[in-house]
Amino acid sequence: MNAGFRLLRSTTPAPRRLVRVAAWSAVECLPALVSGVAVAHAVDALTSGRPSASTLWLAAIAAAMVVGAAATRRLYAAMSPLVEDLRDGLMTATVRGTLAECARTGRPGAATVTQTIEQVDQVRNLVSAVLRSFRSTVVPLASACIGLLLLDHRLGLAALVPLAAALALQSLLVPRTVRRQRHAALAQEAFGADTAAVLADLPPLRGLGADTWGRERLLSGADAVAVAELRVVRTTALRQAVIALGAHVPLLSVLLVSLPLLRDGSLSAGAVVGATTYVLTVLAPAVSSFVAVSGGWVVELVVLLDRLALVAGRPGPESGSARTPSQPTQGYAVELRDVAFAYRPESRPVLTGLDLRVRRGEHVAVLGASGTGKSTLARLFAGLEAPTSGTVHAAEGLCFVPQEAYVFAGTLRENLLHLDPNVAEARLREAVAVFGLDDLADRLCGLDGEIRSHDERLTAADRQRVVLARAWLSPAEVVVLDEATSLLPLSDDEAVEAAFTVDGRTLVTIAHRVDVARRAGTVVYFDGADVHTGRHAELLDAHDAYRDLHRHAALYAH
Amino acid sequence: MRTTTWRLAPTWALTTVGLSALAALASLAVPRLVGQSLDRVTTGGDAGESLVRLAAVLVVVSLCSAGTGLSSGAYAARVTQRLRARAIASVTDREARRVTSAGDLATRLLVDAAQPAAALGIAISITLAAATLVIGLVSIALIEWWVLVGLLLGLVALVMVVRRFVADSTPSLEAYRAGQARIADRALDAQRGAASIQAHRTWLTEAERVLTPLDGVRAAGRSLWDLQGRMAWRSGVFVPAALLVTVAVGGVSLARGRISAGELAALIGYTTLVIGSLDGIEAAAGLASVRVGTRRLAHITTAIAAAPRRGASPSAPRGAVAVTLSGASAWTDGTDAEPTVTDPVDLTVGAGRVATLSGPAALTGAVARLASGAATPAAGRVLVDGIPLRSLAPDAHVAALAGARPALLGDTVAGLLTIGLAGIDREAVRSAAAAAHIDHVIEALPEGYDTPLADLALSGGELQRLGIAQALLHGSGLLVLEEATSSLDSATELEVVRAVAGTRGQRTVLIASGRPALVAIADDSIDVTSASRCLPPARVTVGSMESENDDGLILTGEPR
Repeated sequence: MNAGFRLLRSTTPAPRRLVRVAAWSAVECLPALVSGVAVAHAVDALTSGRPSASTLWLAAIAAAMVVGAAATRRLYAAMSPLVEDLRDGLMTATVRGTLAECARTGRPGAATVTQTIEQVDQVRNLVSAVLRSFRSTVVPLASACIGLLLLDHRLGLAALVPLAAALALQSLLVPRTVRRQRHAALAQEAFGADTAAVLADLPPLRGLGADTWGRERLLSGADAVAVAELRVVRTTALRQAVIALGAHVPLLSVLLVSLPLLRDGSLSAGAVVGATTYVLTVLAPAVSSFVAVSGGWVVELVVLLDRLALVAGRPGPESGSARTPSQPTQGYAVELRDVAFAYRPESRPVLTGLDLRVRRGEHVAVLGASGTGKSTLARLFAGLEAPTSGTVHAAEGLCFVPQEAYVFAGTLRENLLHLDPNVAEARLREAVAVFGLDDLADRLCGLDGEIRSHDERLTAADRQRVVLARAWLSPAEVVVLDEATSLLPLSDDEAVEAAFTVDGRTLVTIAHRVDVARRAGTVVYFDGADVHTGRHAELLDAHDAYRDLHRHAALYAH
Repeated sequence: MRTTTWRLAPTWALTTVGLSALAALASLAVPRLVGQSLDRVTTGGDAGESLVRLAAVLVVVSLCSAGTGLSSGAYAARVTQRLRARAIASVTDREARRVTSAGDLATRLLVDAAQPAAALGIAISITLAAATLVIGLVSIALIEWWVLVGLLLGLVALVMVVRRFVADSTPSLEAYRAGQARIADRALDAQRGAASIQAHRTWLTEAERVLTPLDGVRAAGRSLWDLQGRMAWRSGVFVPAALLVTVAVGGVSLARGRISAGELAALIGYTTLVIGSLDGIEAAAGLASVRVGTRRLAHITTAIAAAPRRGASPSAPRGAVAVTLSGASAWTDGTDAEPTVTDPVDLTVGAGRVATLSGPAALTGAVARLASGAATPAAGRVLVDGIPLRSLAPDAHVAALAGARPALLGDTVAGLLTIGLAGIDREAVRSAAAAAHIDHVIEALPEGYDTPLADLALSGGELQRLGIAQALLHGSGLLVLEEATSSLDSATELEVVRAVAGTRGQRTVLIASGRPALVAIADDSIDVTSASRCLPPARVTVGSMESENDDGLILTGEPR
């Protein structure tokens, strides 16, 4: 709850705006404040034959009403930036929180982002409803109390005692409502997460003929949401008791109390009419609104902010990289000295005692079977993992391209310029030509053609081409490609490598296609737990396993 | 659809209507009873009886209001649940074409499905408001008809304001929702690109990019506020004017002795009721949301309504099946924009054979999805052992597809492998994992096959092998691999495909892959060549060594 309010405060820029909303709400209620008193006086003046006094009282009401109506307009103008800023702030904080977690873990995390966005919108609606309710709750409650006491303190007390009891009862009911509402919110979230996950994985589910499973899963989620919501609904029945106590009992008690007072002449008929006017027209609606707002909207708001604070508060990656900040020796792009690495202290180390130096402008190929630590090596280069022991030095501005080809909804141009938005048009065109993206650009109707989320017009190979071109357009001097050409025709590999190395960049390719070794200056070969480094020819001579790998691949290619 | 929403929970709907009507009627009696009590009180008469009557009516109001709260809440929960169930059934139905992105679908299921339930409440508000209005006005006329004249003048103007708002706000609301859906889509995309975002350290710029549509959302939001403000202001002018008319005219009548003080109080009470009923009419503003929600939901439910129903074939073929595509084509793009269809394909693969598909990835992918039943043909037929694939019961599990990425659903690794299957023993799971060369990886996990998916950190190649094991368990007669080994190194790929093909005879295997090397393992190699969309459809048949059709298009299917 505290975290929720901290989030609210950090995203609401100026508390002064809140004051402005409250002030206009109060002005807006001016007619409500004066109506009872003015009506009483106007009626008394008329019955006692003083029409001019009566007219003055009516004029007072009229003036108050005009001011009130004008204030309404100002109120909306004051609320609009407040609420929209709040929504922007919450949206930004939660989207950042979501991506911070992705950046920290390198994994997608729970697919609840649709839900989160919806919750932000609910907060927006709730906050504006609560703000708007000032004029129907707090202000009229206060003005009715003051008005009743001013009119006649005996009648005032008759109305206010049950009102106080009603407010006390409401404060007892709210915590229980908060609990049930929180439960409902959790059910909603679970359903939202399931919905996003199942819908995103619907194609593979259909491939397995397991779509019925997905359907059952979603249906049971929707059922759970309904059950939780019904529990919340049941608490609302109790609210009516508060309304009866705060709105209906005061009406009866005012009439009862006035009976003897009228008889002994210490109370005017106008005062009774005025008091009932206050109770009926100001107090009763205000109590209903207050109960609805505090037991409904405020509760939902507390629960939602609580949930959103969890998302917004997710930590990002540790600042900087896991790598030792020092630069490699002059003339080298990456240096590893006696590096060992294990994912967990107790697990088998992936790398031990590894020494490796990559010269600037060199093309290094990393080969070996799956699961031998090739990708770990790339992550060490990129500073995404810290070595368990030893040191890693790498040049600034190293661009690591992971296996998954990340193409996002947006134009093809945006996707290509993702790592450097300032690339010249000519170079962009060159990238399109070099990486064979002309065909894709045609299908998308140009570089500014929109790529949609899950766009089926893009093949997996298209995505790899986009990602390769993106890395090529980045300013990085050192590029590390992890299986980045796996879906391209074999014949494209050489052109891709040449494109990267031609202007003197350092290229490290992690590949399962062994052909790359012939073209690389240095080969790093992961042979089980051993790592051998050398030129292709040297390794062919020195290691039987390496020779077998190439012989096998040659057979396999035909 | 709007007119039938209430039928989804008719009892709750009727209870809500009945109780709200009763509560409203009782509320209407309150001002007159207060007036009577006041007159008795001020004239020194016996007020006891009228006070008891007033108290009784107030109790009725409370009870009915409480009941209304309960039943309307129950109605909303039930209707939303049933609408969601209907929409879920539609979007998960394999006959249904995907009409929009996953993120947008999720928004529709979560948000838009919650909207139509509000329609009943709004309808009741409007009806009751209208009734209250009429009764209030009649009561006013009975006491002092001059007051009525003043009130009526303002009413007409107000109704026009409200109607205007509903019409004006619909486009802004739609823009607002669409902007939100775009942010959701981008955020989901970015989540999938987590590894890249981590590698490039771009999460802050990515957040900015994801939030780009926020400007549009903000603009739409501001325009909604503006509209609301204008409406509130206009109605705000009316409300005070109405009260003023009542007090002034009523006061004069009181001075002239035409009405009593109690009647004046009743007049003010009824005027307040009339004004309050206008708030009920303001609820009509909510109709815009309901309309948008209903439309967006109907959009996905009608997509399925148009699709033909699946017939259930009495028996499913056992063991390896022959698969035939005859003039079969698939939708290539699942969006509203302009769904296009792939060229129709004819091919047959004999039972128990291993065949590779080559040709443009878009077409081999379509053939893979059609043959496995993952996609329903847009035209033509897909048959297994002569039985249309779509006529098989959903739980027949004859054919399965392993794609580039497996379905990562379920609670544990074993749950993921047997997702949607019943009665699979651990031994069967183990042997499928072994065939996909993933058994040793799973066994090395902290809890083996019972490792929760949340704790799973596997490489792309390991996930793909998991996907193959998954498909082996799900397709008893036909296994289709579509780029299912793309993340494996060549040695492992060959081993896995060999092992899968080693079950030759037990099941038919269809491989769609860009790797020509895999042809070596296959019995048949099918070139699903198809020229561009404007050329006549490709016709490919295994068995014809080489054929040249009338248009000079060379299409081959070479048996090996």
